[in-house]
Amino acid sequence: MKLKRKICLGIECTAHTFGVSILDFDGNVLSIVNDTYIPETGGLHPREVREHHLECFDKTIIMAITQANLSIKDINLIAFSQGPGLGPVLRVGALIVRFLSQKLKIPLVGVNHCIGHIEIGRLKCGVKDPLTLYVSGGNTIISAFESERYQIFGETLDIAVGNFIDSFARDAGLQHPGGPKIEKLAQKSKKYIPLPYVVKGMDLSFTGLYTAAKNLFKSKDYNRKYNLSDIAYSLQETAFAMLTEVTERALAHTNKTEVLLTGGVAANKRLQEMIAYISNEHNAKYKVVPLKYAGDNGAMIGWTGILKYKEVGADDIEDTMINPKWRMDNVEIPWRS
Amino acid sequence: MNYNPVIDLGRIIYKGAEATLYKGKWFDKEILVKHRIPKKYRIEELDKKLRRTRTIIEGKMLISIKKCNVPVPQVFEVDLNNNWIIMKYIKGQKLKDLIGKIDKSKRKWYFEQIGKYIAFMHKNDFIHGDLTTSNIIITKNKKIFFVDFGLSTKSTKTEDKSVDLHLIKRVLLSTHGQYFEECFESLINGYKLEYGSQSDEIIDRIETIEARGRYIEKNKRKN
Ligand SMILES: Nc1ncnc2c1ncn2[C@@H]1O[C@H](COP(=O)(O)OP(=O)(O)OP(=O)(O)O)[C@@H](O)[C@H]1O
Ligand SMILES: Nc1ncnc2c1ncn2[C@@H]1O[C@H](COP(=O)(O)OP(=O)(O)OP(=O)(O)O)[C@@H](O)[C@H]1O
Ligand SMILES: [Mg+2]
Repeated sequence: MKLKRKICLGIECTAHTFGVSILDFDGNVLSIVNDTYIPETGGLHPREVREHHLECFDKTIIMAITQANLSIKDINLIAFSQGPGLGPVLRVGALIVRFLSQKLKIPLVGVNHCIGHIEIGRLKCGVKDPLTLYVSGGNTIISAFESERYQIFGETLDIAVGNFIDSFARDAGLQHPGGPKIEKLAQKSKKYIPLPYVVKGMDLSFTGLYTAAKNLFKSKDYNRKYNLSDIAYSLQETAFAMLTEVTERALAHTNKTEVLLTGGVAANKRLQEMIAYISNEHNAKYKVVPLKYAGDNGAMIGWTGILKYKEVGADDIEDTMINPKWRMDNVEIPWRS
Repeated sequence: MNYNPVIDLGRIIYKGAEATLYKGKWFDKEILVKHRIPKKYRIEELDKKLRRTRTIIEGKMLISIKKCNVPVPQVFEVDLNNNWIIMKYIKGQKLKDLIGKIDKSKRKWYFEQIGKYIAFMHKNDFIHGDLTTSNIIITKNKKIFFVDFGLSTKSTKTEDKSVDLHLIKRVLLSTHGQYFEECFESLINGYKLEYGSQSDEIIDRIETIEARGRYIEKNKRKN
């Protein structure tokens, strides 16, 4: 008789996306289903996101199980995102998984969202020990594995690059998420307008850039001397050159031989081109995480949960408290030690 | 390339984010050539501007900082046509490579001295901008040299001085985790000793800076 393979249900619930994935313990992803909250106007309200996730969680989980051609009884492990993220959103996630775990008697493990991004990248891109540039709406982090942790070598000193682009796009009247729209607009221009370029060692800052870009949009020269495409082009060229510079600095400093690009902003072709360029300059292997695994998703949580479970087993219920400010460099990584 | 014929460029010793560095000879002196080569991933306009301004800044800073008694390599030539700086080659080891090879008391001594030197710079409103253990070189007779001033600025702001300390703190955490406590504590001791009571505000600000870019900000996101 063939040995029954083991199955994990991975649940991502830190921000906009309620993500569910079914995967086996060898890392084969059997299904991946996301339900993403898109605010109609204005800011991101944690409570609205929470309502959204409460509304969709059961359908999303059932859909993921169905697409994997399995039933809930086949699940051997539940993994969930314990932090970092929005408190109210993390709380619903924890509530849902604790309920499922206790009701169905399935072991539960909590994982760090940022580490999930790296681990799914390592799995799906065939890299072993990369320097990772993780760029999304909430994070801008340059990380590598060093003395048993995913250490942070550089990060933003203020807002995340995705947040900067989305904020500017919203001010310019584009719908959320702005990243892909800004990318399209940028492709139509070759006119560079100088903007503030701020790097500090391996850290970066985007608020000055944001203010300057916004001012360009509000200026009386707008649509006379330059248009929205020109601003989009200039802000991308500036922000991505900054990201590439600090990544190269970290690469030279750490001597890693692989570079991994991930997070929602990794979808951007221009950024990919730049990171590929410096990787090549340093004879490092370059990989970008495929779109469905680069943005927030359940598979990254499921896979990290599997790694942890295989090494140290399940969490006790009292160890599944959410941790909204959980730093990745505080997490022990027993599966790589 | 039209390198000065009396320079023997020697060999490449480092390919960094800003420049390619050569160890060469100029007459009979051992020199280091820091050449800010074009970085082709960025558009030419931005690239030219960054290379030029940083070469100017680094040349100026190396000269001014030497005047406030912080050991930095002597500058022989700043060439803005080619964007390179020729300076003295400092024979020694990067602190990054040395840190694990010496005993604790020696480490503490070095970091206290480093803290003092950073305070020297900060008291004179010089911000290094890229304080790492790669950018500090220790010579055989235990002299401590600071290099890499391309990102440096002049500023009186507490914030900018705190960011400088935050950068070295983070490199210690990420790259030298097992020595973090002793090294950072000694560095801060030296910094305080040299800077005096005015340093309290700068040191206190480090934690605020660290908290800022982090995930807590996500709920303050705009979209
Ligand atoms: N082509 C693109 N160019 C630039 N930015 C993009 C592109 N596609 C998506 N983005 C940006 O990616 C971000 C979304 O990233 P992601 O799906 O990882 O979610 P997140 O909640 O921001 O992630 P995290 O929780 O990891 O911080 C948004 O800021 C979006 O604008
Ligand atoms: N004058 C010098 N003598 C000896 N070694 C030096 C000298 N200047 C620099 N180095 C060594 O070369 C390395 C790279 O130099 P530097 O940091 O100036 O280059 P960079 O391109 O600015 O680097 P980064 O990638 O940090 O931007 C330094 O870390 C240092 O160890
Ligand atoms: Mg430099």
